[in-house]
Amino acid sequence: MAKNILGYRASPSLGFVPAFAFIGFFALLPAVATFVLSFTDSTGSRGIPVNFIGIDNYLRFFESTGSNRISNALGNTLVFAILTTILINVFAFLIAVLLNRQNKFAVLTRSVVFLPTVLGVAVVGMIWTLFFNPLGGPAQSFLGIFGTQSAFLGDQSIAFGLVIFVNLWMYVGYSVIIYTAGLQAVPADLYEAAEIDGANWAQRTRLITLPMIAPAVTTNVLISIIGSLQSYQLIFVLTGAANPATSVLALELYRIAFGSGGTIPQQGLASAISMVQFVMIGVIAITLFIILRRREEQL
Amino acid sequence: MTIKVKNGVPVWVRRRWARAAALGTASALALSLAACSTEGNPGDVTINIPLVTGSGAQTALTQIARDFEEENPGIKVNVEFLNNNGGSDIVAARLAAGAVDITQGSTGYANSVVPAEQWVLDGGGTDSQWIQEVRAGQWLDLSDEPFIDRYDQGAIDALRVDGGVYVVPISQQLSSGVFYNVDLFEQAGVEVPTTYSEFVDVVDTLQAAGVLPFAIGGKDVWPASIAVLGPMNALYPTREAQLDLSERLWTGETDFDSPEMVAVMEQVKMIYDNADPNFAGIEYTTAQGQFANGQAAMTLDGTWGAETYLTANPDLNLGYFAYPGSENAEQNAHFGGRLDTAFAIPVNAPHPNEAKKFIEYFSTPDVYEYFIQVSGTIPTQPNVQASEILAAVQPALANPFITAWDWTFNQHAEGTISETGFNYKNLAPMGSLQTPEEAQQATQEEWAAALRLN
Amino acid sequence: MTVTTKKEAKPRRTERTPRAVKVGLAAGTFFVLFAFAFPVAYVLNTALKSQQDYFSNISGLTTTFAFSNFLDAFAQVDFGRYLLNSAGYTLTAATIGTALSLLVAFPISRRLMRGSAVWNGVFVLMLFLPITLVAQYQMLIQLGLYNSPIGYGLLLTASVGISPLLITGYLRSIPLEMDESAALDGVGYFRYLFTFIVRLAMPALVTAFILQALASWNEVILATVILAERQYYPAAVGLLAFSTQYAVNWPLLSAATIIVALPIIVLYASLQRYFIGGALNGAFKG
Repeated sequence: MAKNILGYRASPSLGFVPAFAFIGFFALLPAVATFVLSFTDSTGSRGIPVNFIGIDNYLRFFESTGSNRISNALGNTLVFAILTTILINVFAFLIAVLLNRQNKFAVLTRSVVFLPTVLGVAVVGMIWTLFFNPLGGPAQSFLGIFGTQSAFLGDQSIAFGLVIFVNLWMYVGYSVIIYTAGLQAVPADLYEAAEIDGANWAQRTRLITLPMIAPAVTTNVLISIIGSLQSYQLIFVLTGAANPATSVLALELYRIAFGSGGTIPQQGLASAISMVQFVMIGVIAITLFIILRRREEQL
Repeated sequence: MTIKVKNGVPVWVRRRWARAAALGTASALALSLAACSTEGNPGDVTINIPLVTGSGAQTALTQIARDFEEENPGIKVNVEFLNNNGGSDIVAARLAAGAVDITQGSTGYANSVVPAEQWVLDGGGTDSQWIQEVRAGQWLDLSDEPFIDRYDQGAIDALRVDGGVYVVPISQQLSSGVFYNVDLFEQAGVEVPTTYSEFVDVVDTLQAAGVLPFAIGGKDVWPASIAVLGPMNALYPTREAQLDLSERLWTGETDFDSPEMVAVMEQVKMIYDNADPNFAGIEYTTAQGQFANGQAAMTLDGTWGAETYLTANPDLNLGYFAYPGSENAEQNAHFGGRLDTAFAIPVNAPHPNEAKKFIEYFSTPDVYEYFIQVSGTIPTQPNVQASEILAAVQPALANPFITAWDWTFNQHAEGTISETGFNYKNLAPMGSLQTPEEAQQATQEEWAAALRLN
Repeated sequence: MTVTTKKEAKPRRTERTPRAVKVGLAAGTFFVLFAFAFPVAYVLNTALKSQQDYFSNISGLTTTFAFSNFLDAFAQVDFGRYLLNSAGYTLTAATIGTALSLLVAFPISRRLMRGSAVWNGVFVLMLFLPITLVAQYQMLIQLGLYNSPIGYGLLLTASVGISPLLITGYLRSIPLEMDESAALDGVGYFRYLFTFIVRLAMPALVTAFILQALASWNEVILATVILAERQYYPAAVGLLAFSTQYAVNWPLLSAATIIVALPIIVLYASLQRYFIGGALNGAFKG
């Protein structure tokens, strides 16, 4: 039985129980409900009866028919998550190193880099929709210099890349801050000692900086992966939920849950997708966590 | 970065604490403001009317709602216009939650307002969601309402389900024709084509004169589907012909990649090739702007668009002709269309009586005429003149039109690529398939799989 | 060699940084600044154009200063209301959510309750909950809270995400002796929690607050599904709804975007030390 260091019996529970009950009810209960729904054929339509259909929804998930956009969305989700995580962390690290000085210019730039995260998905979405306007927006004009043109977000082959880019632009700021914190926590004397020993910049970075910021890397990578596996709000704003080139699991879920252009809504199937995504994220996150922690310790 | 410390606690933390208190108060205030309605008195009834409809109807209905509110103090009308993309999802969610008083009733595509034909059911298709819901008793039967008599009884009867009237048609549309800029045609020295070869000639001449032939809003996806309707209307000029094709497709007698299907897609490709190379990234409303401002000579849009074009550019010299999909001018000279906007009341509407009152008000001759005049849509009440806005379309209305292909052909419940049977979504530049053959082959695979599943 | 009097050490470039490197760094910084500021500036530029100006010269600098766009945007749509809604949702959710997280995290980190290890596991689980859009939608309908800002607010408040874990981690750095001495002094539990602990754990609380605020601010899909009346829309949804209706008129849309963005930019500029400080402190969860 855990010792109560404060000597109070009831108070901690008095605080804990209602708080957790609230969180549990509005955040955890829906998760359980989703689990239950995933075994039904609920359409969400009033009056149409709901039946338990066992694991049928899950079987459909893994079926690969031509119209099954779930496997497509799954693929997109994974690619999106991996690319986003790598790109954000690489760029964030580079920018953090670049801006790791105390002059006003660098500080200002750091603030500006973090601004997109704060602006929000709708504003960022509008900014880039405008920017990528195929009828002569800045991006199109830029391409015009080279004599080419593009439909940008309408071009199935590059829409996905553009979405990753905008996502990167929006969220890199947060990682930059974390890396900056990590860099600033490295004691200066380590660098000075290394300099005296004759190490150049590249060596100092590899042998001191990287190992010392390993915890920050772990944090960042985990946050990025989990975030990007669940990310869909920005994609929703940029290309809508119906574009197969940029469809990720969460968007596909939304489409299927409420029906789209005549297909009957299938909330049971949508819930199954939710659950599979959950398991997938859990597995990936835990695996990554173990791997990164071990590397951290090695360093 | 130095951190000033006072009494062991950072200074900024103290200030932060005070700020948090202020923030908390402010946020509580803001939320309570957000929670309270600023309109009307308690005791007011608000009826919610979410609709997906064209710009003309939006203008008209907004005003009609205000007029109704003036004449009926105590009833507020919240008409909300949603985008065609995703709007039906939102309405579906609200319907399920019992937050809708009036809406369009059929939130899906193809043939959604009449029961499915037998061959569809045999092939594993189902009745549309609309039909299923009506039969499950989810929509009010309005047969005995007085306002029903004001409408063209032919239209009313065509929409009955099992004898009941569940939807009030308030406007119609033609969707198989081509809007064109009369001035641009004159400048390029071309005339309205009556056969397909003439049509191609016109397109080539326009290109040579440096005029963009077509404006298409591919980014919203559905505008590209209209390119299918023109050819289908011309090549299958009667309802019987279209139903026959539908049956052959559903029973498997005709494949989706058969020559006659590919022929239609060839025409779609011709249109795609002569639109802005990046039309797949252009929104529908932007494309409308392109056409209205004379940056493109033609556009394939439903007649609901007439109001948008003339409002965007009052100097536009607007014309409309029948899409000449065949070599037979007579065969081409008719139009396809369908219901445009309609009202239906769900059975769980919070205020059905007020909703009926609104529809009653809307249906009175003066109000309805105002609606038709301002919206520029085709009326469903007899003895109502179509508005000036539709002057270009007026000749087309001289004869009855047939139901357009998208409302004749049933979408398979499983299918999502080609709900019209044509793979317009994946034909370049909308997608990655380069030729009509490839596009239809993909459709054939998908449909064959779906038809086999059941 | 300069003597540093500042509290934190930071890596200093050696005095003998070659000129080329300095120039390179400056150029790089400028490039980054440009990459992040230009798109926003472009929208502002577009907002100041008239429709005519826009169609004839889409990418160029504006020649008109059509402030009317901003007025029109406000006239068409009540952006003030949307912003107020967003402020309400975000601040309420983040404030209450953070408070709840603290109430939940403290007993667990101090092992004041049975099965603390299990609860800790639950906190970790909350990091990656499945997307419960459908269930939440059904739940609100059952509770009669559909289309209610209160219902939406409740859901946002409960989405505490990483906060309990974050706070638990940070609390480890607060020594147990503090608890003991407080107990000896006869300080009540709640008083202790909300005066002492709050002050000491402030960095973690600020981080949790900011994270939840950002998540609420960016929440678009749930709002679209749950809220049926425009007057309840948060700013993000309002902006999107506006854009689907007026997509032809880009200058108007840009003005609307700036209207929504401006308060945030102002808020951010004045509070950015706390934003960045908060984010910094979130870097090392236990």
